[in-house]
Amino acid sequence: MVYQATRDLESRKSKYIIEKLSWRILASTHAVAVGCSGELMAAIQADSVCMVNTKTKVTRWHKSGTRIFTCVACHPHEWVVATGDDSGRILLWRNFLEEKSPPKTVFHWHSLPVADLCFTTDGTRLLSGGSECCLVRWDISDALDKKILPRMGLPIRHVSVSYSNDLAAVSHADNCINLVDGANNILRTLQNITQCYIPESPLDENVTSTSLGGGSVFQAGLHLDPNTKSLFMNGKPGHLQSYSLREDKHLHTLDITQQNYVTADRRRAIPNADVTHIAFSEKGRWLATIESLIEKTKYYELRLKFWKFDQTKQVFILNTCINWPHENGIVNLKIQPIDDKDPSLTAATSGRDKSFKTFSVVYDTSVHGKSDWWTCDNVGTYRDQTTGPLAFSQDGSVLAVSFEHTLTLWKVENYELTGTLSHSKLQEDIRLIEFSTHPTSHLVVCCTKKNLVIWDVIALSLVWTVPFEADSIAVDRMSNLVAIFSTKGHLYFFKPETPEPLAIHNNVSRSKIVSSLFVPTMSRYELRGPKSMLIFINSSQELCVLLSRESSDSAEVGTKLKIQKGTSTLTPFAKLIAEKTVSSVGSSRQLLQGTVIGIPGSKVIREIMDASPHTMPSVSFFCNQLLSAISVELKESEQMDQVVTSLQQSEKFRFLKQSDADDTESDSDSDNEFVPRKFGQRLMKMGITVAQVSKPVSSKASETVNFEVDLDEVANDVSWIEAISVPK
Amino acid sequence: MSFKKTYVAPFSRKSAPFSTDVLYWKKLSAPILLKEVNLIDYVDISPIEPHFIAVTCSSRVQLYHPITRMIHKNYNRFKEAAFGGVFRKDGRLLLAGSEESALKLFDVSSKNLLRVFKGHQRAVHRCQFFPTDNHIVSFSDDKIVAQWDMPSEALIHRFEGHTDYVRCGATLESNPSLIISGSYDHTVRLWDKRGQKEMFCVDHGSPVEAVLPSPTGSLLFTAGGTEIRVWDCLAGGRLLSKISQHHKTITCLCFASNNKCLASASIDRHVKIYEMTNFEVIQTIDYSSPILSLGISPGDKTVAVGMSDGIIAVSRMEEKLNETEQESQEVVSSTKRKKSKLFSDFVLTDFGISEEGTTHDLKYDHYLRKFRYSKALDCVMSDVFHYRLPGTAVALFQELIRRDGLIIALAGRKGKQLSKILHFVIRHIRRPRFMRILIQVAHTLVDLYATKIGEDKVIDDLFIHLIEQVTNEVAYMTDLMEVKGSLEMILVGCQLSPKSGEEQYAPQSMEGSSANLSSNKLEPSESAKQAVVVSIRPIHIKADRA
Repeated sequence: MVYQATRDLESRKSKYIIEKLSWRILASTHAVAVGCSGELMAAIQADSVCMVNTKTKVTRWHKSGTRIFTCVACHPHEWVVATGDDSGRILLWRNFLEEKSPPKTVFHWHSLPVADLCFTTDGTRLLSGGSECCLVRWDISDALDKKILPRMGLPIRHVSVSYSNDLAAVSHADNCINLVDGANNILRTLQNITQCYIPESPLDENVTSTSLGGGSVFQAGLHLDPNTKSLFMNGKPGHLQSYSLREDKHLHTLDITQQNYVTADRRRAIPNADVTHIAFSEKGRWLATIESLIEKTKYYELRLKFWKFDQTKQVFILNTCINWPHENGIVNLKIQPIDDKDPSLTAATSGRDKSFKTFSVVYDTSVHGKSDWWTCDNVGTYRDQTTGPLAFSQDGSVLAVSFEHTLTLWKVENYELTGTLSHSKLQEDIRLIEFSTHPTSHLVVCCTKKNLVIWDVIALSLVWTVPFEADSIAVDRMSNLVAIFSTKGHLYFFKPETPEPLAIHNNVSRSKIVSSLFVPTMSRYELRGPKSMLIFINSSQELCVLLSRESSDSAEVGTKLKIQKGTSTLTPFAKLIAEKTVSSVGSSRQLLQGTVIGIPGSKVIREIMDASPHTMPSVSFFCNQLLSAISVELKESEQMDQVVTSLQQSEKFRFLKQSDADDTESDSDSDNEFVPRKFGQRLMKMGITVAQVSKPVSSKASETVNFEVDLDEVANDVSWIEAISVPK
Repeated sequence: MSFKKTYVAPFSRKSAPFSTDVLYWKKLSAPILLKEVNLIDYVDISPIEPHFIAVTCSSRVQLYHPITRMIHKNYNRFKEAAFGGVFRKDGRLLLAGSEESALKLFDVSSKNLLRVFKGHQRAVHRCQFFPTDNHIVSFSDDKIVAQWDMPSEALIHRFEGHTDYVRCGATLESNPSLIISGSYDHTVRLWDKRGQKEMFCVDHGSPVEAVLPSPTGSLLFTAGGTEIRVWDCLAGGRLLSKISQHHKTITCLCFASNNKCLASASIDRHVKIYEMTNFEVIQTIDYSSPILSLGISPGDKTVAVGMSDGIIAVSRMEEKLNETEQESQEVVSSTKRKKSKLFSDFVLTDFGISEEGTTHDLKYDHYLRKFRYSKALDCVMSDVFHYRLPGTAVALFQELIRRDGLIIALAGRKGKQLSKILHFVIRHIRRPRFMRILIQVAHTLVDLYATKIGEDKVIDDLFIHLIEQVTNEVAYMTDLMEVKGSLEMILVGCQLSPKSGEEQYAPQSMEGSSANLSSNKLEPSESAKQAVVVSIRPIHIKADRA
């Protein structure tokens, strides 16, 4: 682990020292420091520090007890070195090249390991930071004279001072940088997506699945704020962050727990309360959150909070706080997807105390004016069975609550148990439930540990089932498309009425998918109709966007045929898009009959320029084609004619020769391996026989697909999946 | 980032949210009191605008204006006390009984005495107009209900049957030929003036002070003693309900809110307003003295109450007028503000540097910031927090638990320091909202000080006291769980048995009654006897048909 040292030293071209430093230097940016106008260099290794005069090549080693050094800094123009260790002590070394036991000044305020040290450029002061979240400004001449800037947010990782000496930049564990002026005022905070998991120390690179709050990473999942159309997810412990997909910008943080962040103790890390569940109402008037403080599965705090959106201030304001809605934690939280102002709006929670509860708004007009708050309406249990997740149907009339392997259906208006769904062969606990949307809103998608089951709520019957191990489900509200992530990181798209997958993406993520969500794209072209893109986040804190092929240029419809007929008079970029479109015809069932207005080429460019970077394929992917597209001289009138005729032809083509199109498409696609497989022909018998089948889907219901069979044949196509990994 | 203060959870008092009815009646203004010379016998409000209030008091009837509360007119052609002055439906005639056993009819506007009806032997306390024809009815202390012809002053019929003073009566809007009279002989009788006979008689159980038929004539309310009874007129006087909300004699009944509510006034100084659907009290209005009479104008605009000490209290329903007033006031103040701003622009010449206001920290928060947990805990162990703000102390305990500082805060205490904390825990551990936190505190205390038992007598006693409290609470909880269990069984039983199907219930009730009969020989009650008669009848009919 000498990379850092060697890299630093190589730049100084002193090969001699490299050979001498063959021992292990701490792999940290804080382990090596250069100062005194480049003449002095210091490095730390476990319990010893090495000082080198780069001119005379004099090297001295010093030890200081058994404490492990964590960082080192050199004075900008004096022969002074500062070291910080794991006990929080800072030592200022002087005269170290001459004496065997040099004089040291002790600065001890930190109780936790010192994360970083930095001298100011004038050399009079020393800045230090650590996990206490405090920036300490020491006077070098006086160990007692210190200024502390407390509660800067999360643990400090790096400290740096500007050359003009008027600003200090402090980097925190949550991907945030604070700029502090000389008088210890925070001038500005630079913040992008907040990291949810914070490693214990900067050296700890292993990302585990637990966050500092004690739960798993981004445990509240991804949610779309209907007010700002931004993404809501966990942020700092106890906070929610809002992130605009369109502008790739962190918008704001909402403090949910409203508690001070408790830093780690010397003995152990102290857990902080964190948000575990979020639910928005349909129009974003209400936000429900659940926060809990857990330590080793014991709950210390559990709160259900309801927030009301203030239209004038444009923020959520705490409306109701309910302590201990359930004993032993909460499994799921949902708000009925009906109009926000409906007085019968209901929120439902399922707890680990074998019950589920529903909450509703109380509207009160009193002398003090109008007020509203949430109150518990009803508590439901079913045969003393453990409660699982729950879901509301699309119209909000039915609440489906899972109890172990049974799915119970409750009428929301009077909490009447209307039906129970279970099957003798499916005896595993239900882990995920989602109601499908229009036009198959009567179907419920359920995932047990090993099976994917589709139930019909109206006929109270099993529609179909396949063996499947799912991590996350997302239901598109614009269509009835369902995206499901397997535990092995594969992504499948299907419609709930049929067991045939529409498309498969293999290995979309290298770690477990935590949450996924369909987000409507805000297309400026009304004619193209509502579309969605799939967003998901994995446990290595990567936020990924899967774009629909249909979000390409509208020229695709027209140009597709041109390519197939061999004419290639269009711009190279249009050609490129056409190629991509052809490959996706199989997956996009409903092609829209867009009318082409304007010049396709320029629209392509404009759209590329306007779109936010993460919604685009990588630059290297289309750079060449784009450049040549711009450089081609376009004859506008000719171009238009071509597009119009090709469009007309394509319309005819699509409606008259559908089968023909399928053939040509597969021909032209031989090089592109992403082909949605037709599983209909490969239906296999499954062990489970379905007892009650009421619909004509019975032919499919008794059979099933084994997804695993064709996985090797179906190659992956992840070129459109752009991972925006959260910078560390 | 500033320090977030320790959050002390507020616990709201349990109170039902106000219903709209309650809010409606809250709009009644504070009553304006008018002093009369003697007790107020009767208050009637004119059915026409501007709804004059006719107050019958000593030997006169006075007309008050409902808004100005000034005396508008008075009718004092009485030698002795006047009783029960009522308006006709058109508000043009006023009829009053008197101690001198005659009824007197006045023209409201001209104050002229139009007719005098003589024929009763004793005082006439109440009288009424018939809604359609020119007849009147009088209820007299000579136990007679008399029907008179107005134009000719002639006595048409005397309804005899009551055996005591007749002190109240009414005519029916929907059926103009019926007369209802209530008497001190406990009975209420319904008379038909066409056949000049009694239709039915019901027993109220105590001297009847007021009767009030519903506008449709289907229900009849009678008041006497502390009870209001509701009778079904159409079913021949079947008792529907008994309303017993007053604790002294009820003196007056009337309708409110366009016949949607019933109001009763009593000597216990309350006016109570009932919901007509379930006869539950929706509002109680308190007055200073025993109430003898009550009048509510159409639309509830005026509520006039006559009391035994000669005071008339007139309350008005506040209207939306006030809102506009408030608005105008707001407009005025906002213009003022604008003006002052303008002036301040001129005045302001140099820059003011506002001092950065540091929010005042509470003492325990101050110590929390410094991580001095023990000190912070000492701050909340004073008497103020013990008795008045236990929630704050518990919030601090919670914060200490969260910060993993509870052991630090509790350890190393002796004598008084420790006994204060133990006192607090003992005092509040049984309160459900603190229980969760304080149990943890108690656990920690026991863990920390278990080895030191026996060193200090006071501390030992306190620990024993704590154990007692916990044992009591456990026993209490067990009891509650038992009650809950048995209740659940009953509820489940209710759900299981069919909703309709009296045969299923019959054996149970039979068992119950037989058990009663066997234990002490009881005669069947009056109602039981009636019930038997009712059930026999259809059998007879069946037999006849067969």
